[in-house]
Amino acid sequence: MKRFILAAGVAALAISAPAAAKPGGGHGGGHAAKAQHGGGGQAKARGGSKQHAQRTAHASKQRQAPKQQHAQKQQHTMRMAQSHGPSKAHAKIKERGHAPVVKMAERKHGNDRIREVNRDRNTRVAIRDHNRDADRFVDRRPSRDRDVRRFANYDGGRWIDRDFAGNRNVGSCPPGLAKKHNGCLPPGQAKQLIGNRLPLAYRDSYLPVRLRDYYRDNDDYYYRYGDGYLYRVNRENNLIAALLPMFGSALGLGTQFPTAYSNYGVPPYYQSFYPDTRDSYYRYANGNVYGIDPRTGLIQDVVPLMAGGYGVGQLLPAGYSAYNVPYQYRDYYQDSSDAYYRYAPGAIYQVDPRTNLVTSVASLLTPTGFAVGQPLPMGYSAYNVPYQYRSQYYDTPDSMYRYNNGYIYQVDPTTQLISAVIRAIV
Amino acid sequence: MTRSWLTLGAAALAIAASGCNGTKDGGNGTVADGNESGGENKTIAASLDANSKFVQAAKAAGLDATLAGPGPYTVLVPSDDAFAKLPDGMGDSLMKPESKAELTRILTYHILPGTILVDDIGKAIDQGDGKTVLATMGGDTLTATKVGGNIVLTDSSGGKATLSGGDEQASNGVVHHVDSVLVPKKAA
Repeated sequence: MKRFILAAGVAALAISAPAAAKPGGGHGGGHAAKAQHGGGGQAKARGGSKQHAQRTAHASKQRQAPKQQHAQKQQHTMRMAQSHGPSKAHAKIKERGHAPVVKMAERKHGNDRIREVNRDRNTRVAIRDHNRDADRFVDRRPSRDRDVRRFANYDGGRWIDRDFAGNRNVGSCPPGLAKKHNGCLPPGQAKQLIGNRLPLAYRDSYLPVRLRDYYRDNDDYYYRYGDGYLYRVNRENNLIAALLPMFGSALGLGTQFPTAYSNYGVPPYYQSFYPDTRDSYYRYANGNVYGIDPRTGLIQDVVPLMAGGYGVGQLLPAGYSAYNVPYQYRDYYQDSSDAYYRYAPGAIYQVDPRTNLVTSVASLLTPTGFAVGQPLPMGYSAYNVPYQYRSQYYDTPDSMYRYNNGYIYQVDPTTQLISAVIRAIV
Repeated sequence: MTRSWLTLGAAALAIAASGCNGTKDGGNGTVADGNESGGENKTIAASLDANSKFVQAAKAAGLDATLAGPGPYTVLVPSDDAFAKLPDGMGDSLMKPESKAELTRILTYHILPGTILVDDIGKAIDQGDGKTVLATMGGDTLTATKVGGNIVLTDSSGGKATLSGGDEQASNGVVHHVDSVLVPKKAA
């Protein structure tokens, strides 16, 4: 029995097409399961190109044809069969009572073959077959009883990726590789990839939606994701320029902040940076501060803190491409062809302009900002003015002086309020 | 110790290049300015023993360049013995690449903003009726108290370290020595 029911697929198109609401999504977008960022509907997937050709012929008869370029708005839904054990490969695609699933694309993932199929308008699945020979049986169970996991949901205008276990996540590690701090690859192997060709399997593995704002493809580089790593690839030669482990924290933009962490407030020292507001409240986990939309509980901002976040050797996210060094340090840290300087809470980082990798921490900054009129933050009761200024600025009953992030501040001893910025000393 | 000299040279150049970085002598912190102790003209990075555990840890975390930067920082340097005292072989496991985040967290817990001398801590303790809280670059705080004439620091995990020597002046801050590694409490 054929596993791929392409003929039925055509029927499925006909059936589901009219149901597609606004962004018809174009079945032409059927390549990689993940909606393509800025791909403009080009069928880059190997499997997808065949589909594309086939579908185009039929698509032209449908309303969605002109909208094929809006790959991100696909209305395809696929249901994914999770093969938990090596022997449980689910071959069955067609089910009673449901529109048959359609093979949209196929790609290899290690020893597995993954077929991505649309299940219904809002669900997309990938069926992973560990062993081609094993899947000869037909599974006639209704879909909800099947061992199926949704791979991505179309929700609120975008696809939210889930891992093979149905959790909102970046992706899962191949069986056998523990989820380590540094992704699924054994540590040594990851480094060796730099300078090598991007593995073919990842060519079409576009970034999870939530990362695309941070890492945008451009004329020089494109970004792909695989096995817990984000790959930055040189367009000229398809060689990996850098890679960034994404698995340290499964929490990212657009994902649900776990309720288990909801009491983990931001450490006191960061609170002045991240005060809770009506539109966003902040929690801290895994070395990151998360800005959360109070209405939906979804993460809308991720700020990696020094200790767990951008470290030396990591890739600077796209959002930091502009020079943003705080004023008091600008004379000291200027961009040059040898080094760029970028600020993120907690530090000024030195970045290699060629690779965008953080090469060192140029300067540490305290996360707490001082502001005139505000109380002196906790932890500054000890006099800390640098040597060169001590003879000039010393504590008296009338005024205190404290140093923070490049400035000396005057503080009123009675009220403990910061009364003035005295000078910049960098 | 060629490396020290090279770092010193680099630091001197960096200081010279920075322009308005007034040192006490009004010059740019080069050796020739004739300051009494050579320490004032070396950065913290240059003044520390390159073979010490602390410096190796700083290198592993990518913070060695930081301690050669403008700062100024107050650095609490645990002795090599202090690293050995860490439980469960933590002293060694921290140096591994996968522990970099944790190592950075611990190291930044030993770096305080500005230049705080031992006396300054003492005064703050007195004014605080026996204890004071110190901010660190990592974000967590240390509590300082006086015990029998020594300054004792308590970290947020409950561990204690005694200041065993300090006020080693550098061009970009000051170095004190502690006899234990301070460990911030677990983040999440």
